[in-house]
Amino acid sequence: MDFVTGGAHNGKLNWALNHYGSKSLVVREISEWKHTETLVIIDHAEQILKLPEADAFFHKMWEWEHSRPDHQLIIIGTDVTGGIVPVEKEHREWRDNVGLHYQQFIKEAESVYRIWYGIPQQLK
Amino acid sequence: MITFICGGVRSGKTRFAERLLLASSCKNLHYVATGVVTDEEMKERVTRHQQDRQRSERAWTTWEQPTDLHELAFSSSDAVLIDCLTTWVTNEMMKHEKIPPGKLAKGLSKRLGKLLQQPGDLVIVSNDVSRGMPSSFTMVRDYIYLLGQMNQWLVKHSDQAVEMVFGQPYFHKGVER
Repeated sequence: MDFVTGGAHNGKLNWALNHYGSKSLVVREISEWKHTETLVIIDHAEQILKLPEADAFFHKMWEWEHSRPDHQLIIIGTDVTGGIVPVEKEHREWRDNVGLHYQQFIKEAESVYRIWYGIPQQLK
Repeated sequence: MITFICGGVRSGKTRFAERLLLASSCKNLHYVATGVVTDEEMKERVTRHQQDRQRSERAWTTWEQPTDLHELAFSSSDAVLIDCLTTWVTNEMMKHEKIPPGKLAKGLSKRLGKLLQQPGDLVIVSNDVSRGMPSSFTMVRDYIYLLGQMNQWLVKHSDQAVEMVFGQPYFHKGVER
């Protein structure tokens, strides 16, 4: 698994499509996932993390990737942790949850990239 | 040489940009201010930047251009600092409220494109506001989208792209000389 992060509207998905190949299946919602033998890019992981079934979904994706050596998973997550503390408790909890999950993704990832306005910086 | 500088508030973007231009071999230095003074706080910021330039070892010509940057004309003997893209994008967005953000992004990059090749040296300062929580206001979301598109476009068309991290420049494109 590779993890790609960076701020909103920094060209993360465009970079990933260029870097990994545009023939990949891009999943923005859990329902868009279908079994495939190609590369899978999960875009907007931060939105999926709002759902109660998020952990089960990411676990399923992780198992799919490890079931065959040619399966490859890319997770793209927008960094939403760099602003001021949100007023609403729900938003604070989401932000914390996103940060903690990104830490876990980065720990498990083979490669990690931070995209800065279209330019990649490899962190791992 | 086109240099793009981006970073957070008070990260030393303008100071670093001025340092680059003071080292320029171009004869004339120009400072293009895009901010409009609307309150005391803005006035203070403008005064501080003005004082910095007055104390400068070289003379600067100041232009106040809140919108329509493409109307400025420069030559290869000019070194130009545009400070900053963020306020210019804000002003253009206010002026063209009815234009959808995607179309506006294309129009604004076309205008910037006209300016880009004129000066001998050009430094453009911008802000990074992309790592906060998504806003519930459409206008704020549109603005972050628009600024993101402009920043990406400028990084692509620059010779050097620099992220300022609390006074420390990080070169994503090009190398520090």
